Amino acid sequence: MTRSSLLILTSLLAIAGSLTTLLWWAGSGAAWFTLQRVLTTQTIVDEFGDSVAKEIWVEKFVPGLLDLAGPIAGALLVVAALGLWLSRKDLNYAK
Amino acid sequence: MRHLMTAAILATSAIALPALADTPFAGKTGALSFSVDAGKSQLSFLSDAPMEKFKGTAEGITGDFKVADAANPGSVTGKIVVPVGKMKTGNDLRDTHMKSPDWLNAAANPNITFEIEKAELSKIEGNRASGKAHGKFSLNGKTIGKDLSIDVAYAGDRNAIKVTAKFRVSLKDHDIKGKAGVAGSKVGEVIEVEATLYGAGK
Repeated sequence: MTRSSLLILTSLLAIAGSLTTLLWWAGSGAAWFTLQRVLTTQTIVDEFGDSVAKEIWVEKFVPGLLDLAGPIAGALLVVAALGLWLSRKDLNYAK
Repeated sequence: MRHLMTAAILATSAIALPALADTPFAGKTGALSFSVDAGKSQLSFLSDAPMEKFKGTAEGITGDFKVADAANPGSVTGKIVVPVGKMKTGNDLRDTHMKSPDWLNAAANPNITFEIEKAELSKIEGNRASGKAHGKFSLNGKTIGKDLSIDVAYAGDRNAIKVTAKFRVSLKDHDIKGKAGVAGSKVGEVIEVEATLYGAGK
């Protein structure tokens, strides 16, 4: 495998990683900032006979776009762009 | 004579019935005291800003309130205390920021309090009532007069009470400036609060 091919493969993997990170973020709740717990609501009937929304925190990691998924996806895209640029440079030299 | 007695009973009932209907504490006389059940009571708040919307809760709500005269439910006084340190929003970093001197300053002002001075219950049906509670609301060390919309339910057999309140808190009213550029963009300038307090008779 030539250096150019390796760089292209690395770039493609980085793009795939970036897209996977964004899909992971979107599938996990698409939060702006990372959450360590989420608020869940249970409807219960209280001692007064009223339906009440009881809110309980549940420990759950939800990745945030601005403080986790975004920077990771961005860094991977930078790696991909760099790889593609270097591979193009190698190909130009080879010509 | 019988007609006279019937008329007297009817007249007495006509006077007495509205008096009974004016309080959710029917059947009780004198003063009633309650203490807030911290385990059952809950408070949630919602910040709806253009860049971010989040919900949080406050745990460990304590307090006491007293109705001086069961026949006059407006004669309520007391104090509700919400510890800032037990407020959560789901994000640890945001919780730390929320309690920092830029925001609620938990170190200097560890509690949010509402000192109830009186209530005006406009709608009373059986042992339920709704209206407004007036008092002094303290947050970030700044106290303002505030009216809270309340719903009250009373269980006479257990001498237990439930009060739900909905109100809005303006950050500006309490000199909460926050970090530059955050209040109004990531944190709402007005916070919606909803509280359900369960009180046990003392």
